[in-house]
Amino acid sequence: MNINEIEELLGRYYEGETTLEEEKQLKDFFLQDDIPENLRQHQPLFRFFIAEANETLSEENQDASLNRKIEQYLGETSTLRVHPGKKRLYYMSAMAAGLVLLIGLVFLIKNEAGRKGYIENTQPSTELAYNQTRQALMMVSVGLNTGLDEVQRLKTLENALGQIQRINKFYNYQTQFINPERMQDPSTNK
Amino acid sequence: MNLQDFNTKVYPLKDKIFRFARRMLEQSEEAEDLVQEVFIRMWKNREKLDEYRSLEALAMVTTKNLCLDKLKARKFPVESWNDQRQFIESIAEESRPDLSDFVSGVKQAMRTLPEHSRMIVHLRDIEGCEFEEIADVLGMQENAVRVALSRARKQIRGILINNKNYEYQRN
Repeated sequence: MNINEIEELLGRYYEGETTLEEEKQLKDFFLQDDIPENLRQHQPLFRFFIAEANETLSEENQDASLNRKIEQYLGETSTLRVHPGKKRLYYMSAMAAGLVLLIGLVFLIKNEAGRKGYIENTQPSTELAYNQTRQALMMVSVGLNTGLDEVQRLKTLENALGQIQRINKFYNYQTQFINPERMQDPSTNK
Repeated sequence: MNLQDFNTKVYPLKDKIFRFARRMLEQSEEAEDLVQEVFIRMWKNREKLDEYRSLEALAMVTTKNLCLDKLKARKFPVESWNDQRQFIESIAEESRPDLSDFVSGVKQAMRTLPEHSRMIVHLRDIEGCEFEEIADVLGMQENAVRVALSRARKQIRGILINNKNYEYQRN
């Protein structure tokens, strides 16, 4: 390729009118070491483009962290979307709130009943106190039962999760067998 | 699309995504994280991936959007524009700058370009994309891409050639 052609290509290059093929020619030309004086100023530009096109994700990163993170993620989402930890936390906080409320109520009722009994000191107060205590205890027991129900449900959820995870493990082994290169355990990857 | 398809069709785009992300973010670590993010987004979308005309274009659009979001969220630019100018000018003052000094000068010159121009030059001159592909990724008309590319190339040339002692000496 002669110098005039290159100059003509360069002119069109800066106008954005060259094709990919022509740009390849320019890159190839500037890969040479012997560039005429007047064209040398363009050399770094094309050298830069060539060098950058060959950059890759760093080897170590590619094998270890990236691969593992992606595959971990891919494995996770292919089985389930709910985060078990989050769900458990939700139930726990609901139960805690219920308990606090119950304890508060019991104290309130107890206090109220005690004060009434002290001030009025009348006959029906024992019956009233009895009824109120009964009511409060009923509330506690009902509340506790609902709480227990939730716990039971949590257990079934956990069982189901275990099953799903086992299926997932099996699936991973299978794909590992089919495509051992890609699915290799990153920790053994050197 | 299952895991195997994903591995053969999407995974090999990792280097291209990485280069593009690093061009925009100018930081390798952030770019590596971004590659992961792009893959995760694509995986979440795996049911619909077969409907796209080009997975590569989709990956590049995703990368572009994530990069622009990241850049917008940044409070301060990594390096100020002036630093890069000074770097380029300092090359000429070195006693015996060689070709590789000027090559890194091009990198700095590219950093001074506005985001859009930088993406265009990267996709065209480094990745060798057709104008049609670039227009697809950036959501522009092909002609507009051409005009912007020409302007950006001239801008780089302007920055590089304004140095008086641009001619490097060879060993």
